[in-house]
Amino acid sequence: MQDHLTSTFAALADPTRRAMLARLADGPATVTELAEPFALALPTVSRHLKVLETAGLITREKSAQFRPCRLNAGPLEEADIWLATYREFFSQRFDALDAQLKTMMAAKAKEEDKS
Amino acid sequence: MTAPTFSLGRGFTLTRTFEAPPDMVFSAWTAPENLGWFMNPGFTSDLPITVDLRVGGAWRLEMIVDTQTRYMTGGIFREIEPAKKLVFTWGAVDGWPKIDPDNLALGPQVTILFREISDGTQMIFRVELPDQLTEPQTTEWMSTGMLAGWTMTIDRLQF
Repeated sequence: MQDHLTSTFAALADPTRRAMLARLADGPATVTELAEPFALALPTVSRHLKVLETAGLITREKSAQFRPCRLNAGPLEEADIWLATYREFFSQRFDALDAQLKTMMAAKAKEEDKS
Repeated sequence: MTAPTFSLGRGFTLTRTFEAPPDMVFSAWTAPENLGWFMNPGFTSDLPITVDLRVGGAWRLEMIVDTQTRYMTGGIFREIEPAKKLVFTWGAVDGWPKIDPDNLALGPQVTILFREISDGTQMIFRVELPDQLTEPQTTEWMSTGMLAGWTMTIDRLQF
């Protein structure tokens, strides 16, 4: 699983590939359609698609004439779950921050009572 | 030094509300005597928490995970608007996440917005990885602590 996620993040690290995934989130597309928004040669586009395919982020139909690409969201969900580790760390810290602010508010109220 | 950009949206946002005014929540991030909440509970460090509240200045504290595991963390300030906004590169030059002081664009950046609401403060907290990170760097950062989670990450940082 670790290698799997590493390849997912490596695939996501490139802005062109992220844009391609965003396009595929709207539905399947051919290589030509995916290349359109970018000033890239088709071999370059094919190379990006290969990285996405290896990471399991897209699948390509073997039989159809234009071999449309489809988004496979599974690895993305795993990546999101992983990012949750960092979210969880800060969520815990903010629970502690909440407690600290309550103490500070109580101290402030006490101070105001005195004066 | 390259200024980092964040167009790729590699990060996450947490939003919390607190029953305290924005200036107090801001001071919980910027006054050393109020920053203790950031440390792991149950451990007290001998090292003081320090805050140099100016752009380019650092806040630093020692995180203690267990009796064997401790590391420095904190940040280097990039934007300071009292009671409104705080931006820092997250980490420490000799800690975790590791900061290269000559290239802050290589570290994760934290942006905190403090918004006044009727009964306190809404805090919007965002962590982002800069676009300038190369693929291997991004992968490495994203992979740190994978599966075993945060504690595992910290285990690897012993020095």
